[in-house]
Order: sequence, then structure tokens, then C-alpha cells
Amino acid sequence: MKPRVELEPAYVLHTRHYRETSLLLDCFTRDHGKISLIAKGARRLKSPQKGLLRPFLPLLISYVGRSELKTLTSCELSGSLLNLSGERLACAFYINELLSRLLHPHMAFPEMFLFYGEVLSITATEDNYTQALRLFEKNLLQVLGYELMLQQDKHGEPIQKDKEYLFFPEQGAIEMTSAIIANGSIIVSGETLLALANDNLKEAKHNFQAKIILQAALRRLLGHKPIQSKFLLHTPMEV
Amino acid sequence: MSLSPLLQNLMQGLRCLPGVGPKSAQRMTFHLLQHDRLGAKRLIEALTQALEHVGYCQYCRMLCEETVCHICSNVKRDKAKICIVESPADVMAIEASQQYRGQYFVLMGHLSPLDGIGPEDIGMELLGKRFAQGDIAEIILATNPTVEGDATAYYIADMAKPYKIQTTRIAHGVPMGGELEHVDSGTLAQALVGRRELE
Repeated sequence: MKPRVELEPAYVLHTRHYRETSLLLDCFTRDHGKISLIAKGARRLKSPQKGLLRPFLPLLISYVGRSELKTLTSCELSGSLLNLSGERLACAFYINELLSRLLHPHMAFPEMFLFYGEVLSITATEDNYTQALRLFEKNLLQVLGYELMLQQDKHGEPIQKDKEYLFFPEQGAIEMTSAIIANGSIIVSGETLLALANDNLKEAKHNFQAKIILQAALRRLLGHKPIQSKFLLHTPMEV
Repeated sequence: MSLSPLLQNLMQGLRCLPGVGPKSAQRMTFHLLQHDRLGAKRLIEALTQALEHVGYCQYCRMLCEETVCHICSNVKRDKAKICIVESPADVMAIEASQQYRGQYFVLMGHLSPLDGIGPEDIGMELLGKRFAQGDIAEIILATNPTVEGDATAYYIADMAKPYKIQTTRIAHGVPMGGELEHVDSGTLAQALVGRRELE
């Protein structure tokens, strides 16, 4: 008997064509993390999976297989369709790109999975979705084991709200004094660091500074290849 | 039994075609050599000619051997309308629908960040130049109804905005003559989101 998984909550991260009628899928599942699947015949004219195997749809998938590449046996919709367009769609692609590039296969993050679903629906519906994007980035760094030090500075002193800091993703914050020359470093206010620590980025200036910190930290993990999703927008994105 | 190197080589060569696996390649090889050597010669000739002469239309990027394809050079077609599609096969499909008398622009792909396909890979520079020429009144975005196709459509719509070009996207949903109970839930959900008022 091949190992079988039934009705696993999942989202498709990426699809590629395989042969004439099949699809190769990268999926983010709740209990098995990121997995690769083959959906045989999914591109046939009458395939019932045709409209379902696309990113950003909440699915329940069943699959079998012992090897790295599992075989999809069935899939059904488990929630409503998100109406993503323009900048919002590009942001959703960005989230998928982060997961595709940074998650290791088969490492399950059930809480991250739930949060992913929430962030997608916020991205589709709410005005202030950039805050959710930042919290997703923070959460992702955390589950990958690269949590940022936001409450204390490098020397273990608590962050002060009214001070300015230099921020280094790998070391944390260093209080900015006149003796330090801040060449090319990230300067943030203590207020922003604490706001990010408390998951409260409602104020635009906090959001903006938090973005710089988080993206610097992510860049370290992503390597030299820049984020590709930003090329989806003709007018550069503000978020 | 293993075949001679030349036969193996031919089979390997045929397998670059879509839908041709080892079995079909073997069938084709034996057919060409056993029954239709003249056909094989014609095939070589046609392939050589096509490889040498077929390029892209300088206006729409359709495959053709002239610098301008027969659709772009046809004076009866509406030059103010451009239908933007992903592949030459999509041009043929839309032509077969007999509904469209404008020109085309063939992207030869779609934007796909995870595959590293960006705007420069799908001819956005050339399309931008055509927009800037100012003789386009409407673009019809007929990219595939996939998330990548949608992203590509939004990108182009954004590009067209400064030129005040009317931008439309082809409708998606339930196939004609179909029965709702046989339509997959993803397509049906999309059809409900994109419903329109009955006039």
C-alpha cells in the first residue's frame, strides 16, 4: 500500500506544465508543509481539476506516493474564491515567491498555514493589507529560525521608544550615538522596533521602516537573486 | 534488441516534439524509412526552409517569414484594435472564432515571477512602442485565465493607462452548451464572481 493522504488543506504555490496533459504542482499544505505533486491529466479539456489547480485557492487535496513527487488523486475547493487584481495580485505572488524560495520541503507549519490563508484574504479585501504583508514576513522569518531581536538591543538593553537605532538583521539593534557613522546601515526609531514587536504597524512611518528591516533580513536568506514578483508591476509598487 | 546508432539518433531527435514518447518516435522512424522516404525528404526540406526563414513579425511578434505578417499588412483589418495573446496558437484560435477583425500582439509567454519570466521576455518594450505611436484605440487582453495570465493582463493594462487606450479583458466562465453540474467548481466560482447584469 502506498502512503495515502486524504483531504489535506492546501494551497497551490506554483504550477508548471508537464508533458501534454499533466501539471507539476508545488503546494503548501497544513500538515506536511511544502510538497511537490503531479496532477495527471489535469490539463485535459474535461478535467474537473482544471479550474481548481491554481494559486490562491483554498483546497482540500488527496494524494498518494512514497517518493518526493506525490501523485494527486483528487482535489476540491474548501473556501471562496479571492478576487485579486493589480497590486494585490502582485503582493499575493510575492507571498508565494517567499514560500516557494524559503520553505524547506516537508516541514509543516500549521500556524503559518492558517496565517497564510488570512493574509491572502486580507490582501484581497482590506485597504490596509501592507500591514498584513509585513507581519507575514516577520512570521516567516520566525518559523525559519531567523527571528529578529526587536525588544532588546544588541547588548540586551531594552529598546527605548524615543531613541534612534542602527539595525543589523543578524545582530539586532545598536543605539545610534554621534560616534557611530551610519554608512549604508538601516536607521530605525525605537518606536518602530517596538511597534513591529507588538504586531502593530498601523502608522505609515512604522510600516515603512519595518519594511526596510524585514526585507533586509529576507534578502540574506534569498541570496543574490532579487524578488521577481516586483517585476509584475509596471508602475513600481509602494508597498 | 538495440537499434543501430543512426536509428537511435533519429528517434532521439523526434522526441523533441510535444507528445512524442519513445514508442511514437520508434513508429515515426520506421514509417519514414520503411514506407515514406520521399516524405522524409520533404520534411527535411520544409524544416530547413522554415528554420532559416521564419522569424517574428516586427509589429506583432507572430511567427512569419516576412518582416510584417499577413494580418498586420492586411489593410482591411482594424489597426486601432490589438488583441494581446500568449502564443501563435491563440491567434489561430481567435481567428477561428470569426469575431475579431483587428490586429494581434503575441507575447510568446506570460509573466511568471517563480519561473523568472519578466516583462522584457514577453516583448513589453515593443508593445510600449506601439502604444506610444498613438494609433491604438482599444486593446483586448486575451491572455489565458490563469493567475499568471491575469498578472500579465494587469501589467499591460497599467502600461496602457497613460495613453488613454480602452482596455478590455476577455470574459471567463461556463463553456457554451455545457451543463452547470459538469463544470468544475473553480470555473463556476469564477463565473459567479464575473457575473453581469442582464439587459
